[in-house]
Amino acid sequence: MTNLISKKNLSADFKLADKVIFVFSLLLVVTSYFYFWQTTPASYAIIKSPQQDTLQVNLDHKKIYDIQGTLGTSSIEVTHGKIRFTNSPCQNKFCIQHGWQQHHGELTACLPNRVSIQLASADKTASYDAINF
Amino acid sequence: MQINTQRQDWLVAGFAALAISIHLLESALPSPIPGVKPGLANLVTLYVLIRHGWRLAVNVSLLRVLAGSLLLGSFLSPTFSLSLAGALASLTILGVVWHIPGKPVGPIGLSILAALAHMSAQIVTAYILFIPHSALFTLLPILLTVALISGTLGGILVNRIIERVDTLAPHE
Amino acid sequence: MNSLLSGAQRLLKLVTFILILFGLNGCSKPVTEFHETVFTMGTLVEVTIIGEDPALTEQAYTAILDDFNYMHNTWHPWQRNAMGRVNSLLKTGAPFSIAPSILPLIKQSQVLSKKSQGLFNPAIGGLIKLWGFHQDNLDEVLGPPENKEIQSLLNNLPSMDDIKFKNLSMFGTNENIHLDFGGFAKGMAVDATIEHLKEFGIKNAIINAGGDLRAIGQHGNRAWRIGIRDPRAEGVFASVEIAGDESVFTSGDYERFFDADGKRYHHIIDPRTGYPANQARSVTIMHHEAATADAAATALFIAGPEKWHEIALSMGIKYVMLIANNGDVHMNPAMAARIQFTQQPNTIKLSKPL
Repeated sequence: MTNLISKKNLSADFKLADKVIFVFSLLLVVTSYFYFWQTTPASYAIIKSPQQDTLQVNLDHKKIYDIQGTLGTSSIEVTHGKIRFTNSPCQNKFCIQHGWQQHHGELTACLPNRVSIQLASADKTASYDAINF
Repeated sequence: MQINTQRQDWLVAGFAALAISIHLLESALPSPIPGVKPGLANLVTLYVLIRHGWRLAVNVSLLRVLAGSLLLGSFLSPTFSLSLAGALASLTILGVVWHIPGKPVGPIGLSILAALAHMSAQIVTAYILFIPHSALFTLLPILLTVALISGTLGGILVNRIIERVDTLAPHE
Repeated sequence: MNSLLSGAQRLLKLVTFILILFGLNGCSKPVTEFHETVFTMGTLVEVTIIGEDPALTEQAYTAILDDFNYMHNTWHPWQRNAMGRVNSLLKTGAPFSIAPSILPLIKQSQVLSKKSQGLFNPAIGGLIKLWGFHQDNLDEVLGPPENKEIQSLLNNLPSMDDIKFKNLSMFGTNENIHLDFGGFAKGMAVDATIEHLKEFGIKNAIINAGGDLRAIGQHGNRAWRIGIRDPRAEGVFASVEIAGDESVFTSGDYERFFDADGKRYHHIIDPRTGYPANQARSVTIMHHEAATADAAATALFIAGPEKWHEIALSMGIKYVMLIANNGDVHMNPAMAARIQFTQQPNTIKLSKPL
């Protein structure tokens, strides 16, 4: 039974098509990092929940928000430049485990409670060469 | 009341039970990112596909999703929708690739494709149904990486299991 | 066994090679970037120069700083300088020798004024001064001028046609004439400095004078990305990409103004009414030369939603976006194709092509 997990003849497990699929998948995954990851700091967050109007909060102050979701109230803490879930009525508390979010484009959510937080920056000047006004 | 069963039904029931057990065990595992699991139950689907064909694999997989969610108490919950979407996507791609004449793709290729399809479908479903923020896709690279790794390793494992089983009980 | 090992090795080499290729192409190549901001021409000017030898860049930058200082001093509408002298002499009607530093401004604006059906009219400096805009500190302006004073100026409204040339002299034919190139000198200055950069051999640069800019070349591997600010809010609401040689100029009711009795009065005076133009919140023009773009932005702002298309046609402008008082965005199809909104406007009105 143990030799099911040996490294001998690893290459024999791969047919030619498997190798091709592996390489292309690897490229796909690497590409996805280039496309989806950027790190400009966020300046505000959009909090959405089906039970209430969408809330847009600035990240440059300290406050706790209690947001009504489908299961109950999620507590969201905002401090200078960062935001996180501190309390939520879900079972697994993944949202709280996700911790502080602070970059433009980051996203965290309590899926069972349907409450989500998306981070954005005010006018994304980081990605413009010049502003016309 | 007597329900007439055939050998096929026993196979489905047996494999489904195996898959469900693995699914339950997996859900007890802690995970750094919500909803991300190594997908061990999918290996059962893959094994069934190769040894017993696509239709049986579909039955086993859907039974696993349904029964698993009933047992975990997550029937019709968000987790259920994500699980179902993932299963349907990977079954579809397995169906397409498995029926290519000559079957050029082996267990590893199948496993990788199924895992990537599964993960992608879950993200898209989460986007449409639960979190319509485009920033959800920021998680995509990490989840795809996990899918690639678990797909590759899982495929190797299934391949070896099948090789071993083939020597003991050849394909029907 | 050997063939299996070498098979794996070959696969590994292939994968590595592809990943390296990918790494080289996936990122844009780093370019030397020069960014400087300086206060000149009465506003904040940003100079961006990309991909050139640092010594050359410094040299070119110093040269255009000198250009800006010279133009600022020479063309300033109300300080004591060549412009002031020209203005006093024009009023007398007597011929005087042509001032070389002012001549290009006059000649070009005569052409543009005609093409804009007189909406762009730098000769109405008297009106602008009457409204109180000929001073740096607008807090001192108490309120709008008396209507009768405005009307008397309107009765004998000067235009660029009231400047005549004869041999090496020029003379004015309207005692009210007062040249104010506020809506034009910035464009001329940007053109002059861009041309100067080109003479230095610089190929990729942006000169952004207080939000109005001209860009040449591109940013490394990609086009320049220009953000356009919302006239009523802080953030960027749209963006365009520029490559080659193009200017982006915006005239708005938020640039220079004073408030009196709860009303806002801004500095773009409609020569037809004598009052600040009130048909639009802002107009954005894209055009090759900055001077034309500058004049067109002013003229089309005054023209408003009813008349902008006609004036744009006669001025030869190909890309216009006008934001009306109610927030509606008016554009021609070519502009709509190039502009990308980050905040979608409620209403977009597409005009006939330009």
